[in-house]
Amino acid sequence: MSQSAIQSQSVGVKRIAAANARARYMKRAFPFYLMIFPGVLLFVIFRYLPMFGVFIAFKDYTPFRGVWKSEWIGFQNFVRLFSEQDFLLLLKNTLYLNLLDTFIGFPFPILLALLLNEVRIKYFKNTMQTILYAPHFLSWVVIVGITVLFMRSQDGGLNVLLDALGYARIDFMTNPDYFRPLWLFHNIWQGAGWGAIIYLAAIASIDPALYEAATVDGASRLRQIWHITLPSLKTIIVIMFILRLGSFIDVGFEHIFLLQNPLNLQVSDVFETYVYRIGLVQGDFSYSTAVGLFKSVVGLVMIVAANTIAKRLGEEGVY
Amino acid sequence: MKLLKVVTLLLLSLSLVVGCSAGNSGGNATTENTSTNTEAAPTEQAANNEKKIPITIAVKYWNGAKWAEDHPTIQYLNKKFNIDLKLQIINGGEYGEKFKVIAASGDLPDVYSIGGSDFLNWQSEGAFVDLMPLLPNYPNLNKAYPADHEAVKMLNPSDKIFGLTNISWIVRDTVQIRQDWLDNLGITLPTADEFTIDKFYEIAKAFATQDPDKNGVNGDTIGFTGSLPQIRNAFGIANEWMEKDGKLIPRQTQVEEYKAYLAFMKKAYDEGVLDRDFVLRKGNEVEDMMKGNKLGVFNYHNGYHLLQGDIKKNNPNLNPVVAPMAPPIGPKGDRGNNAYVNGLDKVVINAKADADKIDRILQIFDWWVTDEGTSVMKNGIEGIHYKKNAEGKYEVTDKWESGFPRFLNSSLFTRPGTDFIIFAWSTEEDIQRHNAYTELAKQYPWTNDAGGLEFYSNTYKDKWANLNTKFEEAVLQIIVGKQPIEYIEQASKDWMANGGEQIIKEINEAANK
Repeated sequence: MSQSAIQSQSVGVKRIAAANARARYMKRAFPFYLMIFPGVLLFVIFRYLPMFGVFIAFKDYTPFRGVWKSEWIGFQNFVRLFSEQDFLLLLKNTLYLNLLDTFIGFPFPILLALLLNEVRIKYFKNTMQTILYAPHFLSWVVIVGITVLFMRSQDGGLNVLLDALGYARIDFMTNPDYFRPLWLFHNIWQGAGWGAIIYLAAIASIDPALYEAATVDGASRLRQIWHITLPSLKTIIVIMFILRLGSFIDVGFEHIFLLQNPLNLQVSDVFETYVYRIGLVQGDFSYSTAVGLFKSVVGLVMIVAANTIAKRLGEEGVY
Repeated sequence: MKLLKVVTLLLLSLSLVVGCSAGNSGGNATTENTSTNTEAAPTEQAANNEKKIPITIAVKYWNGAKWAEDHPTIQYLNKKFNIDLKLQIINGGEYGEKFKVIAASGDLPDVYSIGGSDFLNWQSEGAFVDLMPLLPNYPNLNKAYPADHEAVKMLNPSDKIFGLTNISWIVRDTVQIRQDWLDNLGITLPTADEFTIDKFYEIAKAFATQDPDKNGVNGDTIGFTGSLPQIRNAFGIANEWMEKDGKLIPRQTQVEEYKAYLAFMKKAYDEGVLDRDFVLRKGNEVEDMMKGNKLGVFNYHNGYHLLQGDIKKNNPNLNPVVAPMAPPIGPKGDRGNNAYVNGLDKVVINAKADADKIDRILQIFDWWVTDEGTSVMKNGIEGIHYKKNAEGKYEVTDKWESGFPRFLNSSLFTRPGTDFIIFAWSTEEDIQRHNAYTELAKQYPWTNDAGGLEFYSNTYKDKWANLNTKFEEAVLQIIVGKQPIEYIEQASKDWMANGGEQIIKEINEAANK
């Protein structure tokens, strides 16, 4: 009896101690919780609650009946998507563009950051940086508009010049062969300067002592980049790469849609533009949602896979 | 004290999140002030309408000044019919999408316009008031919308009329030529009988290669660009569907006609007569080319006299003359302007409205189709939007543009006919020009024989957009020389195999029902 009494007493003491610790912790941490509260609320309201909307992918949604009363149709929309005549074409175009962007476009910001880091004249460096990231603030409408103005066949500046110099005009905008390079060039031109900022910040945090030691050892600039800067950037590069893979099946609607025309459709048609043409224009919300859900699932799989591989290789990963 | 702080902080953070979503609820107060328009509002009808009824109308907004809640016309209608009229003004381009959201929230307005596909789907849900038994009580409306009119019957079951519709242009657009350009090149304007497709080509080629705008540079003007359905029509290609041997066939099956048409277009492209960027021209760009004095042959509507003014504004030294033409004659004598299918867009009354409200709404429409009603709905209110001047002629006041009184008449509902652009102050010359144009355009209608039937085919709904994209892609590839002309056979076969055959079957079944 006495033993159990002691036991229960000690449990009680432990409980009280634990409760006190929790209360102290809450008191200390409460302001921080309060600070993240708006952020959490924002995520719940604008990110998590709308997720419930995906169930219309499994319904035959008609606006007059509303979300709840529309009929359940199971996986019919997904069957339709996978059996679509163009499904493979869409998948191929999407993956092709993403491969280009990931393996050719992705290194550009890193390269740019390394170059900018080597510039010693501060004025020049700051000016260059501003000029390089300015395109990020231009919308695709403007960028594509300018491109069309310069490159179209009839009266585009470039073609008028070609014509005046006695060369044949080139159908940059309608020849499917030019679509992918043009798209990639736009992406790099618009995004590289902006993307370099994060790498520049990481470079700034590298211990200067490392460079000093390397200089003493007689390492050249290139050697320093190779043995100090790049290894220090490894973690952030891996994280950026994993995040990039998460949007592997996304190519962004606006840019593609603006560059698209009936003559380059076989290389430019991707899920986004397809959904726009078939889903939204015809008012088929359920089908559009189904395609969106499919893309999200693929994105999730890519992120989890990339993260797992990164961890296996001894990197930190994103979670 | 501490608690108070915490609560305040919490509320503040909440308001941060909520604040952005609550921006749209303001401004519902009705204005009681009706003193501005006592002059013209008759009251005899209001005597029968004892109860004041609130009525909401959803209307597409395209352009012009936006109506305020106390717009003189709204006040006029409120007083005349003893109603409390509220407009839900939705941007035209977003109307389809926004309206579906409103529908999903279950808060539909009393009167709204709706496109053919939804009109058909929502019928079975009991969404609309059946006007068939009601129309005979409204003599003007009954006369304007006879139950056996094609457009009224369109998309309705045989014993019901679920909505009013716009019965307007049969043909609105035709081929138009810059006559002053022809004069500059010493070419005489062809008469309707002389205007063959070869003549068309000759003129377009002259525009493309010579110097019709007299700026000293040869070839900086464009012959013709895309979006000229009259060329396709000249080669006998259907305006989507045509009847042949008692069966409806789509244009995608007319391989032989397409071959002739594509040969013509390919030659035009190769010789630089067809705009090299015709695939890229979007939206307003073609109109900008006309206004910028770059394009001499185009497909345009009745407002060509305004186009002349716009060209003149950009090029003050010119005296542009735009001549509407009959469509060109094809090798087999075919010619035509694309005809509208009237009756596809409906104005409906929400079935939730009670008998009094339905009566009041129909009273408004019944008055709207009369000369008096139409005058108020398009000219505005005399004394506010327009007035009689010293010579006894009507003229607009400065409120005409800022008040935009024709908004509802041009965006929601208008009585049958094309006189909605004729105003009280239009000159005799203008009216004659308008009438002559209307006659010319509708002389050569090129009709879609299956107009409206496509909404009955499920395969059409699922597959048409994609099939059509594929077929058009092939057509364009042939024109720019990426594929030989024979490729159209393959495109037509693919079209049939991937769903076209089923669509033809379903459309023909719907036609025979």
